[in-house]
Amino acid sequence: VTAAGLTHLGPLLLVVVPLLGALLLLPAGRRGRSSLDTVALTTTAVALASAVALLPAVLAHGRVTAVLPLVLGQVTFSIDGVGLLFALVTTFLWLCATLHAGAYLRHDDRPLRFHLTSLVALTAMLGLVTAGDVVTLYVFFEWLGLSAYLLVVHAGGAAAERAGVKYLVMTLLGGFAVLAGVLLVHALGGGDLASPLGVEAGREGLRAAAAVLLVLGFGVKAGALGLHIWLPDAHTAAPAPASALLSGVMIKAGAYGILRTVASLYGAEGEAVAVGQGDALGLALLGWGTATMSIGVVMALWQREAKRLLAYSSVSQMGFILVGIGAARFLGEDGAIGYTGALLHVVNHALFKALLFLALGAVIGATGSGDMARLGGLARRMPWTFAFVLVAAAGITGVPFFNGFVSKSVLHHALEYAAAAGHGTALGFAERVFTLTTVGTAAALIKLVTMVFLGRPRSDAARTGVEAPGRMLAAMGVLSFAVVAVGLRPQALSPLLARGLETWRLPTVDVERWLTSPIGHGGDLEAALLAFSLGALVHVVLARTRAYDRPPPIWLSQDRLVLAAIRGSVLAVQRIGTLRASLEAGARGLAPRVGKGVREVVLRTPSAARGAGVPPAERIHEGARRLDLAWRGLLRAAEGWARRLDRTLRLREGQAAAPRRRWSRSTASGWSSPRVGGSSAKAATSDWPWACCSRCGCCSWRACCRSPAADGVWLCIPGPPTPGWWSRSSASAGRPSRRPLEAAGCLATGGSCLLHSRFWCAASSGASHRRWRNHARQASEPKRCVHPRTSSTRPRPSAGLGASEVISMYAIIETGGKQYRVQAGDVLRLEKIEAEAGATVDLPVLLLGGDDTVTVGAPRVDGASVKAEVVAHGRGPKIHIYKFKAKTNYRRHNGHRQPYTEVRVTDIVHDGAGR
Amino acid sequence: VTAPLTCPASLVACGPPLALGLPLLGTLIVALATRTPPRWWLGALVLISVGTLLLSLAVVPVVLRGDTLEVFVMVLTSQLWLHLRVDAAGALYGATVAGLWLPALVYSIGFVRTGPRRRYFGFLMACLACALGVAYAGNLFTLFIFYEIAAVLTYALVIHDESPSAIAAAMKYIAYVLVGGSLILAGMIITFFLAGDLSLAAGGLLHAGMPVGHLLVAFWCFVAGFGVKAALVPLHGWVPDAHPAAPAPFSALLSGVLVAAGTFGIARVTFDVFGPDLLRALGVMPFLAAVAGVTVLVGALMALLQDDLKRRLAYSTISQMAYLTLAFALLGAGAAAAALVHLVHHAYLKGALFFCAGLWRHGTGARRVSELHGVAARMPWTTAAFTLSALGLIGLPPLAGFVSKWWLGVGLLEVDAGPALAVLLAGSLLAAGYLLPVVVAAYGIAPRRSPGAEAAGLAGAAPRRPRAAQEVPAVPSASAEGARHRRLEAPAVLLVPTVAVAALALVFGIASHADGFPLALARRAAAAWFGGP
Repeated sequence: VTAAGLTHLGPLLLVVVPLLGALLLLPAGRRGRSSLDTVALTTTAVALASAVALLPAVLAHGRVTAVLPLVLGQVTFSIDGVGLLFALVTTFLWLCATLHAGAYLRHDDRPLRFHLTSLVALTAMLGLVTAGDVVTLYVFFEWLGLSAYLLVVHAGGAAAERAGVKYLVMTLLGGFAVLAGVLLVHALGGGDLASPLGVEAGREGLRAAAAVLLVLGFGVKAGALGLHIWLPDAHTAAPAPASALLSGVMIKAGAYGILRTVASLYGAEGEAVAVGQGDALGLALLGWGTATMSIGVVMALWQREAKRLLAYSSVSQMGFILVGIGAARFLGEDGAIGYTGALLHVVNHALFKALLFLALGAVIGATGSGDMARLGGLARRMPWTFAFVLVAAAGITGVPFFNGFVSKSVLHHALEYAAAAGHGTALGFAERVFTLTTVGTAAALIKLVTMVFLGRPRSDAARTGVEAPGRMLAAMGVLSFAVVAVGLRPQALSPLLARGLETWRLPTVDVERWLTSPIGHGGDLEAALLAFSLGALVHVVLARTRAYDRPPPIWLSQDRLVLAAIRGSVLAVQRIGTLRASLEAGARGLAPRVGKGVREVVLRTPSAARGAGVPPAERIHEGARRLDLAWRGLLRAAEGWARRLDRTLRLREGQAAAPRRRWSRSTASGWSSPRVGGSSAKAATSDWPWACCSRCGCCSWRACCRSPAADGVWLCIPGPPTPGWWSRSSASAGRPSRRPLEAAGCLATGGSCLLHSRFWCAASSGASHRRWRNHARQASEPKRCVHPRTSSTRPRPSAGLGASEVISMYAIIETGGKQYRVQAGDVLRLEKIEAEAGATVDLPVLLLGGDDTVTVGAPRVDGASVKAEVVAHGRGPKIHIYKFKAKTNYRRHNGHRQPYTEVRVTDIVHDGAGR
Repeated sequence: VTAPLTCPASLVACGPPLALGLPLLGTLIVALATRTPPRWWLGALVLISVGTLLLSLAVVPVVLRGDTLEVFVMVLTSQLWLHLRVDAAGALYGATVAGLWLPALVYSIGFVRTGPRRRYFGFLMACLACALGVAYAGNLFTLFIFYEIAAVLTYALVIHDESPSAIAAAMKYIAYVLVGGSLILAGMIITFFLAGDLSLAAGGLLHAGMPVGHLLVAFWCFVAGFGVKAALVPLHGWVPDAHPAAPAPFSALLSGVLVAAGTFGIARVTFDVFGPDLLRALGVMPFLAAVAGVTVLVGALMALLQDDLKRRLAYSTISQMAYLTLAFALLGAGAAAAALVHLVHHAYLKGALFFCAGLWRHGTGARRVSELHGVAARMPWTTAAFTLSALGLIGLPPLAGFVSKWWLGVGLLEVDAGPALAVLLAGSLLAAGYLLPVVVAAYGIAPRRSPGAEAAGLAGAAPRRPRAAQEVPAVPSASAEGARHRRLEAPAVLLVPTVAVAALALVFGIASHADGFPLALARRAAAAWFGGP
């Protein structure tokens, strides 16, 4: 075997190494955690080494190819400059993430599954970037998508499962779109990624369809707007190293696919692209990318869960990459600048976003939560992590001398050129959106850093956080080094990029021109600094004006839109599927009647029928009645099926299967920090669940609310009130007068939500919000409001801020067809009960709640009852019932006084045996 | 016409009649061995099945060379005789039948431990002979005879449980199939009336000069007749009932190769009786394609709604087998070849799925998808086999299903059948919809939804004993805690065939291009039908 032969095996080796490592993991898994980590780490290191080893060959020849006679005839592995760039980033990131995972998963019970999945995904990713034809590309794309599912659901729990389902559905849809596109490309006679798809007269429609399908399919993976809905959930649910890989590498697979589609398959030779002649594909990508980046960043700004913020930031950053590809496509022969920017941004985003996710992994490992409302002040406790996050944030916000600055500058110039070439206002507008997005990115990252690391700790966990272990720090350190290195010497990447662009027959002078220095070109520096300072300003303004309280409209998240579309189509499809059954059921209802009708018609002649004395009008009426009956039978059958479907679907979504926790008084103290990626963090699984706390009615996207403890029941966080998570008040410990107002936490002591009460006060007393605020500032004690819906006259215990030890128990009872929320001591008026005054009655309990547990009965809570003493019977205020019919002289006036029974709740009894 | 009764000197040429005769010998052995211990005659059956498989494989190199083996077996009248003729399509189907029958037989040895065992095994071997007869039939009469006998024998296998539901399902089955059979007979009579001959040969018996009305009636008689077995909507009614009722190994055969017998019949009629040219002239194929497309979608949609696992798989068979009819109906060489490949791949994939369903039932008593939560912890091998086959059937690369669906897609695009491609992809997507939830549930990734899983003893309680007496596993009545992690993996006699068949998904996927694999044979068959190279 010659050296050249070995080189030709290079791409193959690159793919096989992780697969072999995955096989080695199986025996290593029996020998314990450390050998597992060692094998995984060694494998990724070897993969990185083999990618680096390919560097000279690729730089020399431009492309290295290996062919295996498998699957559909042959699997081609062919790596060029672009592929190698991706392969290098992939293996480097994988190495860092594996290093990090060794520490992160110390207490995980399935390290083998994680590493196995991770190495299989690495195989797929490397196969993807070394694929030489579209079929190979598709094979590994599908493989990557499926293996990543196991990473998404690794943490387990309902949230991960929901995220997993969403991920799987979207991935499969995307995969099938890609398959259809690949089939069309194959039918058009193409398939080799090294040569563009030929243009054949009469098949333009097919050609366009293939492009659309491929871009849509890869767009799912790339998190392009509208198709990104899986991304925030999956990133939040996955363990931090997996999130880093998902965001850093795997979504780049989508970008890679789009890049290959746009630049290789539909590249220069296939069609002559005149500059600025409105190339539809380029324009579409530009528009799509602009929308993605802007909406992504807006969504990121309003997130509360740190990982979710980063995930939306990833969506936004993928928009940058799409814009680069679109601009390159739009510019045609001058498009090298766009590809340069996009490819560089792929590398950069991979580095800093992986670093951010790994750092958040360290934070989550230290505090048990990624909820920014409960973090803060970690800079002092985790100085190294803080430093690394600063580096990454500098990278992503485009601070000069950090890597993001270079790529964003290049992309900005590409967009400017496209705008100039397009002569249109639309692209000029896109350029402005680009700038605004940079500002938004800066604001979002500043928000993240301030809320997680600065200010005062807002929870015990944040107060006691510790620095990350050495392996995590090492992984983050290496990544930080790379962020700075690329920022300082971007030109180091230019030979590889130039090689890549050469394969697409694009001039490479641009690469050298744009990647010469770390300070960019005329105006870049100023623009970056301006964007950063504007971003800081935006954050301050948003925080000070409480704009973070008022989230942007829900449709911006697209989540519900796309999910509703998918669910709607599934439902429609299933309705069609049940059509036969409905018809059968309908026929079953219809058959006897039809039979009877036929018998009547056949057996009795018309004259006989007349002789029976049935008048024709009645017969018609009877016929109509039968038809109506049959129709109703059909409808009923259809309805039954629809209801069953609905139930099935809801079951599938897990709505009816929310986790239920045991009621126990012992858990009443303090916090229960949510499990990482666990089921309780509802805030983590949807953007703005507009559900309200069943205790106090405050809305759950606020800091004070959390998880649905059971079916649709939302509760505030009990325990010490959380200082306002968006404001600086966390630092104002010395000014207690401001705190109560901003304390977003519901006080455990009686369900008065300070935040809510603000609204209520404004509504009831006509006082403006500001007046209430001033009022509160003057008061020495925090003001509290009684929830307007609870007619409680019970004196509430003092809302001591350290009220975690106060146990409050409440119940929801049902009597007289109404439900009431009661606590011991409440006096309330019920529909009349047959009981003597002074007697004690037992009221059935539907739901039992306490400090952090809720027991939901089905329908009643077994063993629980509310003891109430009947105070008096009485009649309510007079109700006037006035009936009037026009022009008929019909007037009736009635009065009514509804009898009621006033009871005082003496006790809520629970034997603790309820579910 | 005189039909010489010849047996060629070549040993290979003796293969086909021998392959038919060996299983019949097995039936004879079972019938006679009333006093022999079961292990003896079961051993003999396995040997016979291996021999049959080898014989069916021995003809493959011959047909790959482009030769056709012909053997005249028996003259009944001057117009009707039994005649075996092995071409590429027949060899492909025959090898599939024999290849799935062997693991199913081994599996049956472990699975069918109670009830009328000898009846089961005797009929099983006779059924093998008949299925091979369908594969190797040289004229319509032979095809019809074996097809009908196989159908009747199937009845005895479906009612093995002798439970009321099994008897009802078998009754439904036999009613459907006999009506279908008479339609085939009608078609055959018309064909004989028109052509004066019944022999099958590429290019077809009939030609465009014959009366169109007769041709149309004959065609639709054939399609409706074979369509019953091929489970074309609306003739599919027996499938979802018969599969859950039959013992798992026979469900696998029913779904894997016996439904395919109907589709194979449609292919024979399409290409060897009518011929592509005549059918194009008649213009009937778009209608058949529409029926097949509807079947794909309806079958998949109905599968989505089933909770009973075997029922879900049965609907999946309806959907998957309609791909074949769809591809045949489009009259493209590539599509027809891909359809034959899919026939083979589907047989093994679906066989493995039914085997796994049987093992789950055997181990935990769970027959519903909702009862399978977390079964992987206790039956890892079974679950792995199921996962592999399910992914294969969905068509994920590089497994077998991907290969056949890929070539189907390419074949459909060759004849510019865009809507058919959409149907194919939609069917695959729906296949993911009805198979992946099973996998996800089995691995316990999703939270438990149903109390059924607890009832099935997967979480804590001791496993429930299955109701059917034949499937009573030796479940130790351990304490709940002890039972939680107890392995319920089936004995080797059940597990080995399951895993082996599932592993074929990978083999057929990765090596699909190798010589002697289904693709090469199918291309040879399509070349014969369409006159290609």
